[in-house]
Amino acid sequence: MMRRIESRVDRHAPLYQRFRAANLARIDEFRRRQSDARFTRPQRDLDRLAHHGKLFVRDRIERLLDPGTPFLELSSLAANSEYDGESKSASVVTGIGIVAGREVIVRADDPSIKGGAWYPLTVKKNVRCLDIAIENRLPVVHMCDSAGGFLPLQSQLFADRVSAGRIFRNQSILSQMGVPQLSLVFGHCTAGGAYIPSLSDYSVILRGNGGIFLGGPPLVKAATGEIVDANTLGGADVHTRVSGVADYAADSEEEAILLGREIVAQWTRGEKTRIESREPEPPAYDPAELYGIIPDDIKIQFDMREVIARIVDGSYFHEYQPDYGTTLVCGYAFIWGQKVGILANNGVLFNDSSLKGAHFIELCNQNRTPLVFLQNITGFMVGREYEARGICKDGAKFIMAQSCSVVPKFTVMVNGSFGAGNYGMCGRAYDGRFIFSWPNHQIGIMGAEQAANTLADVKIRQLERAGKTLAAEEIEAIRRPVLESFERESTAYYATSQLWDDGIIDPVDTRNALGIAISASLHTPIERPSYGVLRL
Amino acid sequence: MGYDFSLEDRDARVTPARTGAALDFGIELEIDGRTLRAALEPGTSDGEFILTLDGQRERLFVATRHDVHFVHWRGRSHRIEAWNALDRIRQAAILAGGAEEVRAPMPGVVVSVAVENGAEVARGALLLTIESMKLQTAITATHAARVTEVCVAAGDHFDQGSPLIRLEALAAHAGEERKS
Repeated sequence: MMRRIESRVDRHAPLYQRFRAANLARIDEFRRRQSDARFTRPQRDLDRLAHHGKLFVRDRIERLLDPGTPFLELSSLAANSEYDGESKSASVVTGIGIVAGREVIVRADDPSIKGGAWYPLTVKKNVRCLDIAIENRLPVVHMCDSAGGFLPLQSQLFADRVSAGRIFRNQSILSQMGVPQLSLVFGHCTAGGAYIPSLSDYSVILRGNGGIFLGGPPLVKAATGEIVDANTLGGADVHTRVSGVADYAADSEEEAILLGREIVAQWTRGEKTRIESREPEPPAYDPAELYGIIPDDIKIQFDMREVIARIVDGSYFHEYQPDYGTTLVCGYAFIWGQKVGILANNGVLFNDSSLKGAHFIELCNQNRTPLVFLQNITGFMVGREYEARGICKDGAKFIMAQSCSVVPKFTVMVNGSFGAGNYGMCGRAYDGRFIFSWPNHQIGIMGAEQAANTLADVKIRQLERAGKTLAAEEIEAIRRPVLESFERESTAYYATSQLWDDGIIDPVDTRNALGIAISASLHTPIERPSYGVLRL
Repeated sequence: MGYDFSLEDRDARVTPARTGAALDFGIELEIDGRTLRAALEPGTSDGEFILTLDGQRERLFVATRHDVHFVHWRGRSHRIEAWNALDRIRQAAILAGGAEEVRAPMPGVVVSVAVENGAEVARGALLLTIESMKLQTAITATHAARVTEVCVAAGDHFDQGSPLIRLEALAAHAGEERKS
């Protein structure tokens, strides 16, 4: 029992048409970049793959997944702003898909880029993939084909808390939790990489191309003088007949993948957490209208209910406290038949909207209802009046309630994400299960102009104290570099490059992405919250 | 990934289509590069089904034994065999491999030889019986094959790994009664 959101969108309005044109251009750019990351490779690298009889990483995944089932690729544009754009998708493909009827997360090295070598952001993406597996108790299928760490950048990927060691630590924790892992070894797993199949519950290794060794032949020769070829050192037959490092040998990639599917089919499916659910139905309004709703200028406001109406089942929405703290829209809806509590920004966060958000999060915790945050937030309100009313402590309540929430959380970066608004609305630091961003998304500690003005202002006052004044062009010389660096580093592409999210998506795919993400999250039980609902 | 069948003696692959169309009935399938919308519902009598293919409803009868389905449709009977993709790929590899040597799994003595040179054997057929550690072991064909050389005779002693028999792989159904 919910009421349908009544849309006020006029498809013939000039503004709608203007926004639509701008957003379609953004989508074109997104598709072009994504297709480039997925498929554009130097011919030399493709030739080398073909020479070794290797399938392209995406064809491997296609063969692994159940026919006709969806695959939610994560972070397809990771590393796009680093390493001269060389490490497409950060040289590894990750995503959630269905194998033998089971939801699994796939982690597949991409040997078509520098032999699948791990760049620092490859490691970050691998760790994130296994964090997702831990948080959502998702079984993992590894497709191993990596030359190992990218040595010129080793200092950025080796020793830190969430560097390469974290991959193997996460694998161990998964095993401890009883979450199974399978490795399909299509290439060499050398040094640290050898631990991926070794720490998996099951492994299949390819005769010929597959190899697992702590030290490859050149290292062995250097270390002990022993001369040995890769196959004798750590090939399929050694590991499946003698050492027991791997379990099954296969003669072709296709055979290895089919064996892998049969192995996954042996895994006992976990019980899913029950949340409120019903038969799914599509939204009553066309999701493609989102293109005409999202403005072409980040400063222009829009009603987030129009977005909700194009994501949720039947566009039905039960709005909570519709007359209080109106800059934060809160309420219940279903996404692919799964009940969620939605918090969506309709303006800056004031004292009342912060309290409403905190209160609603507590209700969802008591109600075992997952939370969806739709971000378009410039921050918490500033100024004397709001400080006097305690905006800091009301914001703290919102952040506290959100941080300590026990239900799964999902965030969509619909538009802006600035300042502490990012924190309250479940930004990356708050361990939401998944964050997806739209191509128009912008993110930063503050807006580019505010930052430039703040820095210019500080400089002007410093010089004033020394009795000097700045000419307009001198002020501009301070402002411009700040403006430029903020603008470059606050785009959705920069954010996704750094893995501040789990990928950019086309707005019309939001409902599907959330549907898969919520379903995956329910492998983990929901604990009881430790407090009742405090009426704030 | 698709599903493999043989229809009479022709191979066919069926793949659920990724057209993204929202269907309220049936599924979309890709067969021979064509996309068909299909649904199968049980009929009223035993083995009866109603097949809806691109909107046209027809009645058919199906009898199944193991992986083989006999489908009676439009006055004709068809034999459809569902393949396990992994079996299929391994058979193809064996055929491509051609010659194979059956080697002794352990040291022992030959009790009896069941085949002679040139014989065509089906998968699972007895090739020879050996004895080791007071236990007799039957060595059988892992796939359909022609015997090209019998390397041992009854009473011969052999070491682990010595060749017992040499085979040449044959197509799956050769030398074997069709599973029916």
